[in-house]
Amino acid sequence: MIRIAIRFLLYDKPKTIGAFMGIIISVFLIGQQTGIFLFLTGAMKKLVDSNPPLVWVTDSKTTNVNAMALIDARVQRQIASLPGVEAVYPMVIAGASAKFADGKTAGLQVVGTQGPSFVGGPFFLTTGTTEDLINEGAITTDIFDAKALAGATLGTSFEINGHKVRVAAQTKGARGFGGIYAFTTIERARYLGKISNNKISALLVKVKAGADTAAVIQNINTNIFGVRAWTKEDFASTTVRTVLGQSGIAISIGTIIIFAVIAGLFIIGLTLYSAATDRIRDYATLKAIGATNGFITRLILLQAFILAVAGYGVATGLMEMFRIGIANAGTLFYYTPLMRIIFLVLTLTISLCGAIFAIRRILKLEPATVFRS
Amino acid sequence: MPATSKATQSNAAAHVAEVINANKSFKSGDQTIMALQSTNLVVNKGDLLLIIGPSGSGKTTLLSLLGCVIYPTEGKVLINGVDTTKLNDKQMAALRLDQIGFVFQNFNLIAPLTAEQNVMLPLQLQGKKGAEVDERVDAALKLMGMSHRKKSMSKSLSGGEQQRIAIARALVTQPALMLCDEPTASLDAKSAKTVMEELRAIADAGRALAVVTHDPRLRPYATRVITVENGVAREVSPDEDLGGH
Repeated sequence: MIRIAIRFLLYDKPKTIGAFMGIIISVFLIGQQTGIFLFLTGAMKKLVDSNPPLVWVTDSKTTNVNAMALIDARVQRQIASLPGVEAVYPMVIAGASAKFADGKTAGLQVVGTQGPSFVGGPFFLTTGTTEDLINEGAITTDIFDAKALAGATLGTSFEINGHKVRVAAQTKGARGFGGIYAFTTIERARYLGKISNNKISALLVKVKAGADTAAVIQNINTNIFGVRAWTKEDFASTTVRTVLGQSGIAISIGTIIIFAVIAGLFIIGLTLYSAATDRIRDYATLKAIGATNGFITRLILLQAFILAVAGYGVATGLMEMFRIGIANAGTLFYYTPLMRIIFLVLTLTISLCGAIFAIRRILKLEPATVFRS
Repeated sequence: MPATSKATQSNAAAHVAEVINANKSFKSGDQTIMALQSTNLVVNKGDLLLIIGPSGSGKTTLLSLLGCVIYPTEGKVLINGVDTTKLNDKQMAALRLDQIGFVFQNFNLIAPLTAEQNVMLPLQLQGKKGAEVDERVDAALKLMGMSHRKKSMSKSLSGGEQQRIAIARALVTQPALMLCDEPTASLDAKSAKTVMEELRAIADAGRALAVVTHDPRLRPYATRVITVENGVAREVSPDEDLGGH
């Protein structure tokens, strides 16, 4: 039957190409939008995801790592005294404005962590080391942000909030959601961001080996007033939910994906329907000589399946080219094997559901019509 | 002469198809159109039954009943003793596939397939595979003198060649009954003669054939003739003068 299905597809090339293109465009759009969504959600939680599995402690009202309220620095000592806690690392995040030699300006987020461990960042260092951040005015920038930072690269000096800084190390892909990260020491971050010495943005808590993380979190939430402790995973997912809830990103991208599915469904459906209508005499002949509705259904579904698999192959190639292309600009995301399987299942669903139009048309066809042609 | 007169004389064992008090009516809006009045007919092995009548007379309806592509409104159609009115659509399709071969006015070869693949199609529908399929396809094509065109696409064949491929396709399952709908209407005189000679040879080999036609030149090839007019079928002598027919 597969040979007959391929023959049918090859015989009507314009319609086959039409359906094929419909699948490619639909699947590519779905994949592309999913990729952008992955990048955006990844960026939203980048600061959390890129750190080791530590307990995060934030202001009790904070639900988004990109918008953390300040907490009292003394909380660090309180938490450090709790059972099961091995170490507590402070972090300061301050919004700031950078000004460059050519007069251009850019907004960025200065992230300060405590040396020499620098738990909390920087991560994805490609040039320099965390030791370089000890030097006077040292900060990091991300190589993908060079354009936004007036070409700043290793050794470049510029001003943050009127204070001179110098790029002492560079990260690759350490980019936040709508913000440029500049990592430095916690003291320098306070200085650059004009944050009081008795304030911090968050604490990262290392739990002792063998201690129950959930119990430590409960202990913090119960005994330390004004803060909230999270597992890394909870804080990351809550951040994503908060940002998505406050923005139209999910609706916007979701709508495009839904329309890509619908458009694909109708393009494929109508093209296969039209192809089936063009071949109506052939199908009537098949029914007259003894083909059952089951055979006809399988024949049309097989054509849709072949189109889906071939279209998915091409669309996957295009998606990969798109992914690599925008990765060069710092928009990094990856399709997991599971996602690729989901795309394939979605492609098959679109294609096979699209075939229903044609199948319904042919199943209604009376074999006796073969004598009326 | 009623359509049954000769049939009743036939040996029941030789009956390939029997139409028993079968009629067919269609709904058209509020009206019921009687396409074929109550008809009795027997088709036997070796018959080349010519069904003649003007357009709209009901001859295609009779052919459709014999071909089991429609059910009679009343009465019965038996194929090799099987009452088709008791069969569902799937069983009817299986019966058509195994017992009946079709030849159409416009050949109805499946355009995307080669001549060989067209002939192979009924065997594939039967689920047959391997050497048996190849042998039967080759034999059918050889019988029709079309072995040399087996790789050709149908659109590259002449009308006569297409019809011979269509006959090979109808024959390949070795059906008990072959039904031909205006098999020569789209052919030139020479091709028509060749096709009818081949159909006659098939009947002479013991198969039952029913041929619907407008063409009176086909009468010499018939062993029996049925005229259909205003939905009434009656059997006439092959030599009887039918006037306009």
